[in-house]
Amino acid sequence: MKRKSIGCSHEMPVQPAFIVGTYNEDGTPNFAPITWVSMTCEKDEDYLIVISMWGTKMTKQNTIRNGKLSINMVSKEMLKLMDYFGQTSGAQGMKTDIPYTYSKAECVEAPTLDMSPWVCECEVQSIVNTGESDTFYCRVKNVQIDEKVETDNWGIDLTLLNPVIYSGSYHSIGQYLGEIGDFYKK
Amino acid sequence: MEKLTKETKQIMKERLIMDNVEKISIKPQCVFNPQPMYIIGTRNENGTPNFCVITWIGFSFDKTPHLMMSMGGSKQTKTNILREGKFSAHMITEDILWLADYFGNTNGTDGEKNRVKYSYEWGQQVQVPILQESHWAYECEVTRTMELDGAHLFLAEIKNIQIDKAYQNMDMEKIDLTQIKPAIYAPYQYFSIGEKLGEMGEWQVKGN
Repeated sequence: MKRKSIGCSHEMPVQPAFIVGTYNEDGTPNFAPITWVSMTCEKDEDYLIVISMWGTKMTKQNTIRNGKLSINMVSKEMLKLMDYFGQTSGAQGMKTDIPYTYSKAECVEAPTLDMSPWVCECEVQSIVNTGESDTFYCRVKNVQIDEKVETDNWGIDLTLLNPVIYSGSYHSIGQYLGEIGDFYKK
Repeated sequence: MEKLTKETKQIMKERLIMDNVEKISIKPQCVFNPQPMYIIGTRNENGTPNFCVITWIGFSFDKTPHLMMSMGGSKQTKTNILREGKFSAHMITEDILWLADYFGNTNGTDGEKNRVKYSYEWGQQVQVPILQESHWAYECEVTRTMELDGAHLFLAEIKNIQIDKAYQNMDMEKIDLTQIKPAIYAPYQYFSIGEKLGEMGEWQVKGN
């Protein structure tokens, strides 16, 4: 295929979308979209969430101070909420221009969004400064999932959770294409 | 899968009525999702290319854009990156899932993965193999390696991006993924992108 080089100014096409929930110093909740999220593991099955946060946003300050956060998957229905949280700054106080409800997480001191179909409750294990960004390694203390979605050891049907994929634009998940090995066998 | 889909159609209907979602707690296992999918290319010690599939990738920024990639266990790719400090990352699109599945199901320590037909050339900025079949490929240089108990995390500067010429008029600030068609991963399963739902900043434009 013919390709061209585009340097590296626009470079982040496939990002899963999450809203991170933290408590401000005055106890009010703060929510901000974070899409630089991935994972790693220690030993065999000891999974950690890895988050990179740039700049000095309120979520970053809260996470450094509290060491606790919730990671709320953004579903299609939450798009307006994500866009709103992303366009407003936590430094200007609690984000209350559109209605939403939240609850305290079960296992950590962090607010969770009631609308989210999948919430990961995290405790920061370590923070590594990597220049203009900080990398947070977070221990997963609990995962909450929409009770209507069946889970087994064989993964989760993403079409039921309807997560948003971000690239500057927002996208939905389409259809199930197959599982590991399906294409190799053919 | 078919059965699950039927059963859950009703659930989906019910879901549309509710705003807030009743949740249950599950064990914190391998449930982080969705994940982007990449084919990682490295150079073996004997000069042949090696490719594998990694989904533990995020972005980071330090003056320039970086990729943040994590790898558990011991893999040929990891050995190569620790030795050479560079790798390529190819976005896995629907049309190369077959190739990804092949690379993901074979082991680099068993020798060069050449049972299926594909072609590559070396990167323009970094000496890493770039798959000709790929529509979107990064050439990366590792700037920092963080070691965990059993895993490595590589922070790598993106030195160059090669994209399909067909995308040259695409708005790169608000990339339309329905045109690129990346595959999305959730443990053991592959999914497609559905539709474009909107663009960043729409809330401000449309207001409440």
